[in-house]
Amino acid sequence: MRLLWLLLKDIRVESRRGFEVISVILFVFISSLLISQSSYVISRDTIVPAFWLTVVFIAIFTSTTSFIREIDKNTFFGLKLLPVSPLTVFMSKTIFTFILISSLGTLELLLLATFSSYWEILDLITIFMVFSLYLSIVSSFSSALVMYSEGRSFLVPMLMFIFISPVILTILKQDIYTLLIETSVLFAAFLTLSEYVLEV
Amino acid sequence: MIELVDVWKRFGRVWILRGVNMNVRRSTLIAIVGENGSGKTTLLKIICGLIKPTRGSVKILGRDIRKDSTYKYHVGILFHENVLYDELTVHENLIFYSRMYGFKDLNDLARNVFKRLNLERYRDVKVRDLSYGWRKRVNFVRALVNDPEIILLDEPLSGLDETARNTILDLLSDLSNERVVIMTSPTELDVECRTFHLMNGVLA
Repeated sequence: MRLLWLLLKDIRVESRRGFEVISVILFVFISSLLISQSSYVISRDTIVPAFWLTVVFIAIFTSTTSFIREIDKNTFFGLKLLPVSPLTVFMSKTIFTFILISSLGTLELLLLATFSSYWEILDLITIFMVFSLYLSIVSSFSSALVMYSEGRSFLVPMLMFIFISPVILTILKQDIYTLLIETSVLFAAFLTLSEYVLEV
Repeated sequence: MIELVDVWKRFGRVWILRGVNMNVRRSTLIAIVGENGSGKTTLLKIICGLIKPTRGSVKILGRDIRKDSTYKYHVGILFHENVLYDELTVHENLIFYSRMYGFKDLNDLARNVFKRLNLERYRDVKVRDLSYGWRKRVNFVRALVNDPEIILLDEPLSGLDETARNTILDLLSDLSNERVVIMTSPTELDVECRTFHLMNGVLA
């Protein structure tokens, strides 16, 4: 139940940051428009890789909504004193990030399909959802790992690229089963480690 | 209720606390007085488990806080910093924290203090729209949302006007009838309490 309250709090807080919500939606809109236009000029083969790249950037943007913002605003001290396990906090942040990435990515997919009339891209929705889960775990963990560092805003994207690099080939091959296994292993590993990272 | 045994804390090469011992029983109001940087906040954060001591142990209600985290249900703390969510209203913040402690709504204690601090007219105002003094009042109520037996307050009177200071001092006197209240202050307080001085890391 507490996980749900934490999640609802994050959703409520994020939905009231009007400027940031509009910024990220604009990013999705403009990027899908540009990718679609360039696909007509260069090659239709650029649409799918460009989509994955955009999703990675969306994940990097949303990573700052996780632990980094809590520490920037001092609210993390309040969270640390609550009678909830670090695991619950990590889970709530991961689910929240998943909601953000998956909804923005789905919007990107729909806009890309519409602007480029490349409806086959919608077949990627299943693997995209699994990748969103992978990204949200990586995003929350990276955010938690460097939240006490002064260079956190710079370190999070770097860490995310490092954690994403092992699955790039899997994504490009659209191998959903391998991605599922990789996501499960990563989830188990980070879930175990999160307790120590957040206890510091 | 609170037992500190030989607590030492070092930041880098500087020892902030040097062998602090403390044994606090129920119905006590304690003021820890010390200059800026004397280690008052560090001591409070060690008591509530936010910072680990370099040496020594802290027990709350007879339980070592490193081994048993259930003490969190019994401790309320007012930080010097604002720990409220700016985007949420005063009421939403307090309800969020109440729910995290297992309460459906504000408990009687928090509701009474909420009224005594005249916060009702700011109930639906977002925290980011409040002045420092009013945020401090809301943070004070937040520290009570779990109906704590131990209340830790880091400079609760700083930045408040005369009326609010007097109201909070009255409240602290009332609260300390049944609970433990420990607060820090850079200067002596005009209230009946046990006063400790923190100088050079030693509590006297």
